[in-house]
Amino acid sequence: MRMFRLAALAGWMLVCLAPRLPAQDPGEMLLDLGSRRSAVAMEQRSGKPYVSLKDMISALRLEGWESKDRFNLSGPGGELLFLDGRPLVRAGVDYLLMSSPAWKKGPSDWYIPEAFLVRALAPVLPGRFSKTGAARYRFEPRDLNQVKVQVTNHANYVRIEFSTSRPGPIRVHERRDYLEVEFGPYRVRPGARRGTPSSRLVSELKFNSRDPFGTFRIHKGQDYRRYREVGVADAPTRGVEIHGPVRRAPARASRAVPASAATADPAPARRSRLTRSRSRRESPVIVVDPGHGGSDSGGIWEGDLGEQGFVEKDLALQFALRLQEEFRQRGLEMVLTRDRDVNLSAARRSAVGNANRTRAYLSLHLGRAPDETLRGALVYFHGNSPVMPPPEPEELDGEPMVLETDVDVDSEVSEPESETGEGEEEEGVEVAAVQAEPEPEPEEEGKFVLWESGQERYRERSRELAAVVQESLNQVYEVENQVVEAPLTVLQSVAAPGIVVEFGQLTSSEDRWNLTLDTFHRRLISALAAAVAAFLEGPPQGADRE
Amino acid sequence: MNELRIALSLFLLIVIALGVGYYLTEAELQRQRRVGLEEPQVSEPVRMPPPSGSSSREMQVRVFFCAPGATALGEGFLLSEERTVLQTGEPVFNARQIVDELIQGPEEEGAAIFRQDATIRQIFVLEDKTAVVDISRKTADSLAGGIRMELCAIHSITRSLVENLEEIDQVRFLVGGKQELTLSGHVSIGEPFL
Ligand SMILES: [Zn+2]
Repeated sequence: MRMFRLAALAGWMLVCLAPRLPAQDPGEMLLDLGSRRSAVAMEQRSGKPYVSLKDMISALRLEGWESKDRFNLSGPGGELLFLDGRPLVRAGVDYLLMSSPAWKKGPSDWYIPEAFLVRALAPVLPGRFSKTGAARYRFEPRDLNQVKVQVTNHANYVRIEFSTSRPGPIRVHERRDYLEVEFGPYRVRPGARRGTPSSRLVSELKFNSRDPFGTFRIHKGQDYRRYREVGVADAPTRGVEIHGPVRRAPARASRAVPASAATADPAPARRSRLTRSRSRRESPVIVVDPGHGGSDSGGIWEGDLGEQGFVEKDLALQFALRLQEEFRQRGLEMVLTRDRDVNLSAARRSAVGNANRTRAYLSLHLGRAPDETLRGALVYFHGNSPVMPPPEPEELDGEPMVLETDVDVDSEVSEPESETGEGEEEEGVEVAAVQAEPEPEPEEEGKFVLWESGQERYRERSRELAAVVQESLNQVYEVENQVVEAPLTVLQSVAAPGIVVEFGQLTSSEDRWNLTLDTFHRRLISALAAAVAAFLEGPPQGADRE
Repeated sequence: MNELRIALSLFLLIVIALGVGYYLTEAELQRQRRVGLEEPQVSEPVRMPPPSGSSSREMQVRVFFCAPGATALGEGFLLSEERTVLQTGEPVFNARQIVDELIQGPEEEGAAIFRQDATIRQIFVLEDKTAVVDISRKTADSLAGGIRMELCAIHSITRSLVENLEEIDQVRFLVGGKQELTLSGHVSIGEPFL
């Protein structure tokens, strides 16, 4: 009886004290930005306070994203790379050793030790970042970002373009009565403004100086329905389009109308001064296939301390998602064959392209080469390039002639850049076919093509697409790689211009280094998107023989 | 008073026990995290030495390897090295020796494609001058992760066989005894290479 009372007493004392045990308490850190104060989540780990990177990124208007076991954070001063479970941070080209590792609490939810907050973030921020007390920090933006505004009114939407004097993320938050536009971790200074928005869609466009950084507020008018962000040709310019109620387009039913005909705009949402795609067709313009997935990891590079590991399937997906965003900003629609880590057969991948009647199909991969000197992007298109070299050139001296010995063997094989008489003859056949059938019809009705040979009719267009993309990516990597024709299962059934893009070689240490840098990814993505956009703008359409 | 003292010490004991327990679990968790980082090392299997020569005639062959840094297919894609093999009069055995030399890797600047423990399960030579090269699953998997690796394997084997043996005009590839779509995910091997 006595023991019971003692135990009860001890238990009661414990209950009274329990909530005060510091290890259980997820705390909060305070961040002062001008007159505004933001709360940042903090957690205790092994007795040390850790700070949520997600909250820091959103409060400071930085950019951050996760890939496999690392977290990238980028600000105007550079990038940081946090590795889970490893005491290492990379800032630009320097490695910093932290005595405690970063901690990944959940998907995209990373924490770093509070003790390293100033050291880690100060170099990437444009301004003064300092500790002002226990769990209390202050950021004073120093650099000014001059933002010019240009407003153009269209039939059913208003386009508001912001030209910033500094690069950086532009984020739009939708609130009940207005849209708030943020411009990275700078102090915004409103510049010249041209045009006045139609009052039906936008009741007011105001600079909000009460925000610690300064934002623009687009107040919704009575007809406002939705908004979309758009990219504009010049890099630092972004736009927001404010759309009213959707009006049915009259040209919707007329599939057979030649694509280039100037029809009424079927979907104002897809309008962009960058592309002419809006009037061509309603289906997605580009299909992107992130290679591998699920149990098929593709190429793997085992990193070690001091070097990042790579898994092809993950990087391809991450790259594809960012590419989609890039295309979206250019006003081009893009569909993915997979947006998750799943297994997909080559047939399923092509089916996504064919069902969407894509105009360009890109399969994204990372390469691995037998020698480490090969670096940069490699672009492939589908075809049966022969292994054996063409016969000795002496036989072609004088008059070009057909080589009887090879005719039957190669009759099925197109010889791309071949200088032989046989190759020229094949070119001739193609030209003749084009002249004989000057059909402008984009699809031949009632004609069946074997699923496995869907790509055959698009070989030349695919070669063109490959060349444009290779050239563009070569400039980013500063290499002179050439396109390669090879029989590729992922492309053989694609009934559209299609290519495989290996956007880096895992066997090249230089490429591996580049692929850890966000700025480099951005350059690659922008170069790739620009090349594809240029290809889609080009004159010839449809299959080779049309 | 006495009761309060006993209660206090009991309470202290519980607090200490909880503290020690927390410390131990945390230490164990940290240890597990560290252990998780260390990857097991796999040792390389030993390769059998090639069979010693006999008294038959010898023949000179050109074995092809991928040229380092070459990006385009065509003449510069492969490099050749001279090798001496036995002239057996049997195309299958000649082909086998050439492929073995290829797997052994280059002596000059060419790039090695296969690991030295790579296995070619079988080679047949058909009457229509098609060589069928059956690569083990494991060897095909070792090419994973790049079109370049698969192209190098296909081109170097095909060219080495077709160029040296007049009984062979084209090469078809199998993986693990079966017709597969690709060696390791990219390049179609549904049709023979020539
Ligand atoms: Zn791949």
